Amino acid sequence: MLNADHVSRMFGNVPVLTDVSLSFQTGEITALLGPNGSGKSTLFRVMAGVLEPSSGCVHWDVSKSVASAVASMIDGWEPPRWATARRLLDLQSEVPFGFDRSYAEKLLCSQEIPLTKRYGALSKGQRRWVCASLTLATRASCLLLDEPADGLDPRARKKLYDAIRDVVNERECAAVVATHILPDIGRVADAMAILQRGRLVMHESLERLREELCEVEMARGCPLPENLVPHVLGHTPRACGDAYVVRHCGGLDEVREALSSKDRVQRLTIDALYQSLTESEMVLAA
Amino acid sequence: MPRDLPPLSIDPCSGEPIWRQIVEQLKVQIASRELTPGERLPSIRNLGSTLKVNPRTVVRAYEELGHLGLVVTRQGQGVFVLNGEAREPASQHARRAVLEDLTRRMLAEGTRMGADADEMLAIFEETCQAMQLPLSKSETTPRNASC
Repeated sequence: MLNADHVSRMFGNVPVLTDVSLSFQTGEITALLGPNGSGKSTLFRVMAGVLEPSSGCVHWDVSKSVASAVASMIDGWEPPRWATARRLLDLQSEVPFGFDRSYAEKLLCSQEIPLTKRYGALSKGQRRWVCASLTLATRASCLLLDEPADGLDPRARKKLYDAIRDVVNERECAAVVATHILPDIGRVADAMAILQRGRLVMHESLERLREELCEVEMARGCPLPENLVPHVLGHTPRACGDAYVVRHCGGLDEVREALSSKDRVQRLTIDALYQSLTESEMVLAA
Repeated sequence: MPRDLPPLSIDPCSGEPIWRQIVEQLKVQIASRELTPGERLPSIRNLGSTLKVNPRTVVRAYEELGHLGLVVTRQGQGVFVLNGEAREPASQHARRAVLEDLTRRMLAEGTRMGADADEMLAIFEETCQAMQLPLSKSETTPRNASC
């Protein structure tokens, strides 16, 4: 388990992270989302312990037998280019908290990456895969992966996210994946956290969001029923009638009961939610 | 050696909670007897690994199927499709609910386009003929009542 507790970070006078509190649970994958420059990578560096927060702190779970808690794949850091993939496996085997070498080899093999090739001679996607494999095969209680699928083709991306799910299910660790490509991660993730301008604007279970969110399209000229008004998160006028994003703890069934048969209600995809969140800055009240 | 069970598929883009997707598909498989009474469902671990979802999502789906009276958990052995009579009313109910939902969605879309029930019914009958599904004219006796 990993906790960030009121973490803030300034670069000079510029606040990059402001009062971010987050906790990541064992057995869960959290998608850390946010537009470019929202502070994802800075938060990662702070959580991985390579950057000091200006205020606040990070707690790692060191109660387990592993000596250290976090394995990270930080954007911008790369292994030495002269080292072959095999040499990188040797080096990683030295980490104090254990490394599942055969699993790493299996991952490399699945993408047909020869162990004898130098890291610098690999393609961009292959390098990404090597870094991800090294991190995934490390027996840490929390895995931090910053844009792990960057540069991977769609098949490799799916494989990588499947591998992250497998590792988290089998090894009972936590994983945090920063990305701005939602559909891939939404498939396997349990929760999503959204950063905007350095602030945490949302941290929620995806299953709960899927349960509670829906889009209501009223028949033309009809107002939204009174009892749904407090649950509205966003509103878009449309030619065929007004559309509302509604969050209701009773889910789709209760919303449907409040509507007439001429109104349309459907589930809102996480993708659509994320888009409307980032476009309109609507607030997700529970 | 247990047989290969009919596959489940998760659509992460549908917006439907994943545990509900699992429940809906298993309901249909049980109602249509693709899963036979007494058959063991995949273990929580296995299904989580096959579908690439959190095992807790599978637990939630299995619990719901338990509440619906379609499966039973035997401690230490797994989750089994309930036998014949105990299961039958619940399974028929689940089948009925799926069919009702389909019909409701069809009618809702039609209504929005300004069609009334008569027009929808006429189109329904024409489509049945085009697909060569014999339509019994006496509306009181449902076809295939046994299945």
